Amino acid sequence: MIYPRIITIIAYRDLQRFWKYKWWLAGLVAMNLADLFIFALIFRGIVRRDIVPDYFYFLAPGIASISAFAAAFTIGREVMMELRRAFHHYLLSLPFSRLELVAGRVVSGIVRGFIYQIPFIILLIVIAKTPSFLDLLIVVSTTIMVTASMSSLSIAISTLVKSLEFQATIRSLVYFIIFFMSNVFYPESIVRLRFPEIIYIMVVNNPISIATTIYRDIFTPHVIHETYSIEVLIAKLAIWTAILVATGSILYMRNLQR
Amino acid sequence: MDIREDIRALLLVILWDIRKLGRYKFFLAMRFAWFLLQVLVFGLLVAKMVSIRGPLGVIDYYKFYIIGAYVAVLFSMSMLRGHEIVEELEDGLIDYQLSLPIKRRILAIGRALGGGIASFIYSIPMMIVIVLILGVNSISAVLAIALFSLIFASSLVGLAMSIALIIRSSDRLDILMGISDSLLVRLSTVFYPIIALSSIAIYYYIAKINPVSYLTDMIRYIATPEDVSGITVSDPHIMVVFLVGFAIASMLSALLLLDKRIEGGYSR
Repeated sequence: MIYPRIITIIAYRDLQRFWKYKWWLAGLVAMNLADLFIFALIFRGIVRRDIVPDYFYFLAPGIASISAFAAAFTIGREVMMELRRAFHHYLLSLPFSRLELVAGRVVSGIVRGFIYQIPFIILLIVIAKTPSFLDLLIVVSTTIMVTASMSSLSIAISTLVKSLEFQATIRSLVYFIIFFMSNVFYPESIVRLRFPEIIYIMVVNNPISIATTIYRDIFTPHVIHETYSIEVLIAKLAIWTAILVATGSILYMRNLQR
Repeated sequence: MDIREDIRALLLVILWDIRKLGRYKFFLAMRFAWFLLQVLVFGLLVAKMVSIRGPLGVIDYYKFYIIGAYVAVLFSMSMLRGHEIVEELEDGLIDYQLSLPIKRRILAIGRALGGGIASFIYSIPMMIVIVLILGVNSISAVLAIALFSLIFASSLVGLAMSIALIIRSSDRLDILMGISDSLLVRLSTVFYPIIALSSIAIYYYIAKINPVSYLTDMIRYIATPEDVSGITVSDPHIMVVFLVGFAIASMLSALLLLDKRIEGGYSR
């Protein structure tokens, strides 16, 4: 039996710890805003209009998905620090099941991603368009899926190897690969033009690319040339979420029981 | 103490910073991976989308960009030294160093130079990558890139040290560094030539006085002079004067602050 109240308590505790990383948060907020209001605005003038009609509106939905991804990914760091300090023994002694603890951590990732992303979604509504109720539901479910999958991935990495430095390096590397091998900064057509088909397939099926495409389709459809089926994109993201949440949970449980 | 003693003390302080290099293997690996992805994925893809014309024709954006990516890495590695200084203040290490029979100005210059050399050493793998991609085959050009990078790294360490000594709070410094890292790189010529910034006046003028722009365009001028003619932030002679002036100013500020503000210990 899983009690939602316990999961809420774990997620709330993790949320309080989230505000501890002031440098990281300040840097991330500054980077996301600078990417949009400096980088994208200037790039708008030098990017070929036949490829991207308006780079500012092209990048804005990408920033929203990157922000959720980055915030959700921090949960892996928490797990790593707990294992380093053997704090997980204390957590295991508390009156809740391991499954509840694992579920609480994934929910923590979702909450962090959500809270951090909200201002960027509001920004999209202000600068682009107000979505319909159905579109808003799609946005919320996309965010839930992308944050759940990315927090699970981050947890999985944090439990894979013993060396903590190595863990941090791998987590950063995976973060960079997901970040750059996505369609956040460039349209998929350019990836196909420049790289082999396999890379294109990887980029298109990257959960961050899928989420970005959904946000673009809802908020700034005029900046994309390709046509997408939202149902297919949601299904793809749901598959990613199921796989990554299952993998992350199994690995975390295994590590807790060692 | 005579001049020979001062030089010996300076070398010792510099060596102390350089010896810490081994501690950051994973950090370096991470930065290198980030840089490679910037150069081999981001740069290649963005170059396909961008079209910029200089006075002499279309600019090869890929060549233009990878130099910027190198300077961005060097910038963030050098600024990170500010955090180290605050940590050292918190740990009482700076107090220990002040108790050593070393003049404060020697300590300030030594820390800035040592930190600058260490940051530059970190960036050497990235520099080699850009030199190979750009096909820079003149030894003097490679040495000039290295020299300007080293001067710039030492200037930034001096600046980071000054900021750390003024702020004396790791929390406030964390926020300031996080913001400045993002803003200064984007408000420079790292990603775009100065002419591209002219559409937004405030960005243009910030980039015009931003030292990051000067190092980036100086390296571009040395490595690919035919591509950047007429699009640099300033005339090459002025860029040299600016970079040297920035180095002197940041060293002086670190020197003055270490001398005056260090008294009274560290407080949160």
